[in-house]
Amino acid sequence: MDTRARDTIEAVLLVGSGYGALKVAEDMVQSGIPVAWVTRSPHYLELPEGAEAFADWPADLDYQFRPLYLRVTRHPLLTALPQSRIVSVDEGGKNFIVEGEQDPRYIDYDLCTGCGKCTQLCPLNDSARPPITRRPAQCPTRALVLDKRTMSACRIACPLGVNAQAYLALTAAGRFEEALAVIREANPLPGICGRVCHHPCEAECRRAEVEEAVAIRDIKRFLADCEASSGAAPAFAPPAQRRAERVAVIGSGPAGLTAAHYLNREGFRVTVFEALPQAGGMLRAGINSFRLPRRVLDVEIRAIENTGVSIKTGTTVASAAQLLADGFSAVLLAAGTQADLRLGIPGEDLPGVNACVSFLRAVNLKGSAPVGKKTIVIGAGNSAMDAARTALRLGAAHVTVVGIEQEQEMPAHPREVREAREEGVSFVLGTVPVAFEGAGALERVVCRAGRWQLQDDGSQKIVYDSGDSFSLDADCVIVAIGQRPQLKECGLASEIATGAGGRAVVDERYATPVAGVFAAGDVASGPSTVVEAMAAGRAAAAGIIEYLTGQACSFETIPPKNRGVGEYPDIPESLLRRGRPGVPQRLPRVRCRDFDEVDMGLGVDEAVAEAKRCLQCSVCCECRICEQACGQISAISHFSTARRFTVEAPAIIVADAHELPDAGLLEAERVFRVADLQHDLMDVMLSGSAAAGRAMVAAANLRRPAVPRETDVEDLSDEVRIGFFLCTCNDTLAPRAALERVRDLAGRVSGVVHSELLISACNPKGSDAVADAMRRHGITRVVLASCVCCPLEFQCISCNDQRTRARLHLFERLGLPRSRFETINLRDSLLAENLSDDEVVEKARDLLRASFIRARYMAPLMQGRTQIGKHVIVLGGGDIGRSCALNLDLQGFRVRLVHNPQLEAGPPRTQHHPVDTSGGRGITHVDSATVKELRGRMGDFTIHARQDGASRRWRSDIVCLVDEAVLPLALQEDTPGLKNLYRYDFAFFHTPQAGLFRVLPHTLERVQQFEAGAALAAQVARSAAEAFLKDHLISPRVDPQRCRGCGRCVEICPFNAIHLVPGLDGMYTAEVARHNCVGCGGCVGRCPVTALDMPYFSNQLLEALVADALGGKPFDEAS
Amino acid sequence: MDSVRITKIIRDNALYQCLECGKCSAACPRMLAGKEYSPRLLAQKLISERDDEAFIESSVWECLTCSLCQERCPSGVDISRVILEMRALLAAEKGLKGYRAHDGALHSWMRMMTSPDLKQNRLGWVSPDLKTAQKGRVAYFSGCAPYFDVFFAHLQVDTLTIARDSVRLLNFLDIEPVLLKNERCCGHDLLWAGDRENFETLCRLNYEEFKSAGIEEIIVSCPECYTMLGTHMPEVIPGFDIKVTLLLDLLQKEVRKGGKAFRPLETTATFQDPCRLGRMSGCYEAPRFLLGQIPGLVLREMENSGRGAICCGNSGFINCDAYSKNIQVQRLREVSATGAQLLVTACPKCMIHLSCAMRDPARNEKVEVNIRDLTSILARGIEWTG
Repeated sequence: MDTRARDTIEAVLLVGSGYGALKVAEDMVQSGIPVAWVTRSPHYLELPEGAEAFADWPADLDYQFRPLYLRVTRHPLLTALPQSRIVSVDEGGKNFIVEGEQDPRYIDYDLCTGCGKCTQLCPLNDSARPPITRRPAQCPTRALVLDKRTMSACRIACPLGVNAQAYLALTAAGRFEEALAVIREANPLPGICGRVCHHPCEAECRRAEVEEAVAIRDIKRFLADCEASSGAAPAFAPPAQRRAERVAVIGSGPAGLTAAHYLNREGFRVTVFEALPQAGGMLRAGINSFRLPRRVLDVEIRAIENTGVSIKTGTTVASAAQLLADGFSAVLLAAGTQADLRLGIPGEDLPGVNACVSFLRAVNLKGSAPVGKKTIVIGAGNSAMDAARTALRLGAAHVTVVGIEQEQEMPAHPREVREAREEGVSFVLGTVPVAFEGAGALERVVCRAGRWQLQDDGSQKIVYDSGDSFSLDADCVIVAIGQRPQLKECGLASEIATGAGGRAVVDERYATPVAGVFAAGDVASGPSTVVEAMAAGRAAAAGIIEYLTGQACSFETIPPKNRGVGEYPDIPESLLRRGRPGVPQRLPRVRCRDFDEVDMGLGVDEAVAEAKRCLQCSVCCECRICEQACGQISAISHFSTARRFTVEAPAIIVADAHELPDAGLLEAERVFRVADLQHDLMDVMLSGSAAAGRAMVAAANLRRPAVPRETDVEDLSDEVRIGFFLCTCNDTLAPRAALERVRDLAGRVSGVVHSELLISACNPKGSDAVADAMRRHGITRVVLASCVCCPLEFQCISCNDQRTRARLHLFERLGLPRSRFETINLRDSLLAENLSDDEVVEKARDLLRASFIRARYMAPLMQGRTQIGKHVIVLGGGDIGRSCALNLDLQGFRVRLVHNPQLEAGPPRTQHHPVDTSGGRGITHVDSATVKELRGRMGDFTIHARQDGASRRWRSDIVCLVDEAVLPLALQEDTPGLKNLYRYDFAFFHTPQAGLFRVLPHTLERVQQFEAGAALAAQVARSAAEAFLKDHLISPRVDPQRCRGCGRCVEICPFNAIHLVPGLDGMYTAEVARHNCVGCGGCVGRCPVTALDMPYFSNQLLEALVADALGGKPFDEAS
Repeated sequence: MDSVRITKIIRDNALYQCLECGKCSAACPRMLAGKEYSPRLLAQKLISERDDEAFIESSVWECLTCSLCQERCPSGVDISRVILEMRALLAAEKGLKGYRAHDGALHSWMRMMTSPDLKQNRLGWVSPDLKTAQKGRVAYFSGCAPYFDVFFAHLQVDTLTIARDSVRLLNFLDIEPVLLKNERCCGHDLLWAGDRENFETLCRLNYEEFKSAGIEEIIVSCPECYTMLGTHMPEVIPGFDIKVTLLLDLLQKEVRKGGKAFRPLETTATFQDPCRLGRMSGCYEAPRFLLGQIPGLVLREMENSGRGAICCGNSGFINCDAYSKNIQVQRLREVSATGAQLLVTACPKCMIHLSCAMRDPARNEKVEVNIRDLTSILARGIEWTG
């Protein structure tokens, strides 16, 4: 975990997801109080745990929540922390100190455009559990989520960390080249390892829990063979940059070759010195061609050479110091173990007694070695099996392996033992040779029954089962009991410290005590396996690079700990049982006569079928092809880490108690609970508002005045210089060639000075490109063709996060003028259908026509601001009125609470509330008053009332009607369109008149009155804080000369934003109340006399658009 | 503004004979509705203060062209004609911006009809009971009825019923008229909006249509069409040789011949004289005579009727506003004052405008009355007595 990335946020803490939580967040941030929203869920609309569904939900509910969701989650005062957990809560001080942790987010929500290219290229996209998904379907974003679990066991088991899961996934998808590339990233010798690796990965394979481990090594071999049979030579990318330093590597075995490869890849000049006449070390000298054909070896060594590594064969190095003196900056000793261990028993020097390494070297390099009729191989390791099978091939009539171990204990891989046995090798086990006997030449081996015994110091000692001995006839013996380095023999031992078994002594970075001299592989570790030697070679290369550059280096970019989130998915019970395929081999009686390869390898169908057996344990296989697909968007990072955060919270609101570390916290002061789900959505929302209202009291001092960026009205009389930008949505919109044609077509339109394809409009790089081009080309009008529908500061139900984000980047982050932008949603039209290039161009041309005309007739937009004051009148002093008034008082409002209000002509009062003036210093209490008139608008209401026989005139910014007696002051509920307004705004206290709230009797049946009062207070605080952001130029203007006063606009307006104002001679004129107006334009279309006109989209503009469009402009005039 | 042309317009229409008596303004319904608009002042400006272009321009478009001023003028100035020609002049010089109602949508339709290639489906309204001829010398001109019914559907103005009833009446008189499938708008609203060029195009296309069908007589039911075809079209088409007959005139003549009667209709009715029918075509007697033939129907004249009738508030979809509405409400009050249960008119525009005012969502007094076209009332009950 990266503890450096720790953020401290001062905000109200909101815990849990769901609709109630969304309402809390909305009320809090829109009232100016910052919120840190923590939830385990990846998004905010997941219902709290345990909930299934509300009754009577409309099916399109999530779509209705879209505008709200976008408004809240992209609000500057909200810190969104999805996929997070609370670790601890300290209740001690003034604030709660909340420590939390957010899971790594492998796909950056703020960058992902949702183009879906990654899913198209993901090898697992068609699998039962695709790692990259979009969820939930109705969430208003296209952004994707990556499911990456704990790293797969096979990959952890591999000393080189080869990503087996990834190449299996790619193989299963038939993508062999990419699979091979995944292997080569961590292992430059796939063809070799595909044959001789002891595959520790398979030992950890979880598929073995079902039947058998996946044949990972065979698939690796298949992939390398596949490339070879295609005729392609393996190749590595040359180093990006060459460096001056030269590094010498002594030994061209697996350790040396691997070290050379990685040093070379980093730009170092590498020379490999090999004493033998051919390169490969033990790969060539120790491993037979029937296991590892020479062509495979040659091809892979040549690939490393071709990338710039120089291999000098037949060159024995006698002094590392001399190499350093010759100008090498570092030396890596990777000479392996070339000397055979001796048994140290009588007769070991008799003719006919041979040593394994020298025997195999002679066979592999010179082509032959003497064997007898009766050959005995001593030892039970892999080398012994090799020696035994080689002896058979050289003509030995009988070959017997003599080993101390019993069958199950033999160090040789069972597969090697089986193959040797198939070819006719016999085994004498539990047997210790004690002497070689013969007259001038070997005739027999004297043996005793024995075994290894573990000593207290951890070493092994031979113990004999009895005193009896027996003889085995033999005319040839090959001793294969192990090897040691040959440092002494070649003279290096004098320079380098040697330890047990004559091995080089190194530290954890593979450095010897001599500066600049490193050692790795068997020479340092003693005999090991090919892959372990390679891993050591790579690690030593990293050590050398650190030594030479002074900078930390690791080729293992993926430490397994803290990688991925969550456990492997359970193995599905429905999984079909199917064992691994047997690898076809040549018949034992045929193959034992020659040195051709024994294994035939898997065919294409077998390899693919076998790869499909992989359980894909960590879900995402981390092949990282998605990163390439994402390209410049760079939203995907497989190396993201968890993030810790601290919230200093004056209050906590809990929407889902299951997400708390300790349920006892619910009992604490200043912790508020969104009630459990009751009957329907409105209850949950109301409860959310109530919790928000109560938390506002505790967090009132965090409230920041909402100061919108106020802009001047743009002067659009300047020269029309149009810039055209076409978002390619990361090259997924349409074929690039077609989009280039659209770009060129647009470039020829008159007035267009610049035409450009954008990688993405919602990515910061795209918006930066727009701003940059505007500056460079003096662009005064922009036509942006993307998925963004409008440039307004507004979200409707068809909006989504990408559209919102594009506008935030352009207009908020970069401050570009909205009114100079014409946006057209080309994406939805071009993407949906399978169009040919020509059709794409034609369709785009049709759609863009109006945009280019529009660009010439742009109208200004302006952000206006109307400051709302803090005076509130609450009419009604029941529990709800008092609760609301007290809450607002504590939030710092000036409240006038009329306990017993009535209307002059209203129904007689049924109850008279006692006046309780105990609470609230800032509350002006009025016992009873008769309201004669309420008029005005938000920020400027006037109430005319009679109190104690005297006439009163009270001014107020906001009015709350909480007494049934005064409800008629608000409009009746059946006002046309009101139902929709409530439905979309979930506004239970609202009236069509902004700033005038009312509580209906049935609202009170839902919740406790005290709660309802707090919820109402939250709405009041929101209205007061929302400095008026709406763009006034999208509200229509009325031309009084034209207005007929017919009232058709009033009739159609769902927002009660138009009134008829009486004038002379009994005539009326319409007037737009811009506080209420949302700019939908319904009235403009309805007006029979064109008296209404929206400045931003005027009738004149519409006429010009139609005229120009019918006149064939602008494309026709351009050509 | 082209002063020479203005001088010619003034001279041609006797404006120099203006006595500045102000009767025109005193009679103008628009002025009486509260609008600052004066025909007398316009006359003065046109004669001697032509540099006040803003005033002239706004006044020229303000006028309802109802011709009531002309009725009152002691000097016989043809004020409507001055307006008509001034509008053509202004439109040519300053663009077609006079119309306001419905954002000029209806004028756009009319202009679309100037395309020679236009294919219309304009005879869909012809019901099976109507007897029409493919060829013949008499045609019935249905005008804009098929279009109005679409546009004003919300007002429930069933203009096509007028067309069907007109054909029924002709069938009753043993006339099976030809219905021209490519007939075009008469051009009334374009001409009055100053768009002379497109008006003339419509005239030519219609004339070609008539001639190619071999038509010798056109019967019209709409007073606007009647003024266009009867008065203005001959000015455009040299040698215009087609007889244009107003359906009401034909009916009056036929009923007077005897042998025809109407079924009784027990009601009290009043009659809205359309300006194109009355003051422009001089047809005051025919509607009253025909209504008088219906037994049981009591005709009660409004306070202002006949030559002094008040306009329905708007003409040519040009200047609808709060004052138009005021005029309409005044007129409906007059209807109401007669105690009539039925308001009869003879022009689809009167029907549209008065219905619109009745259906105002914001009206604050009850002015609704049953409104029907005279043609429909006549067609409903005509029968042979012979």
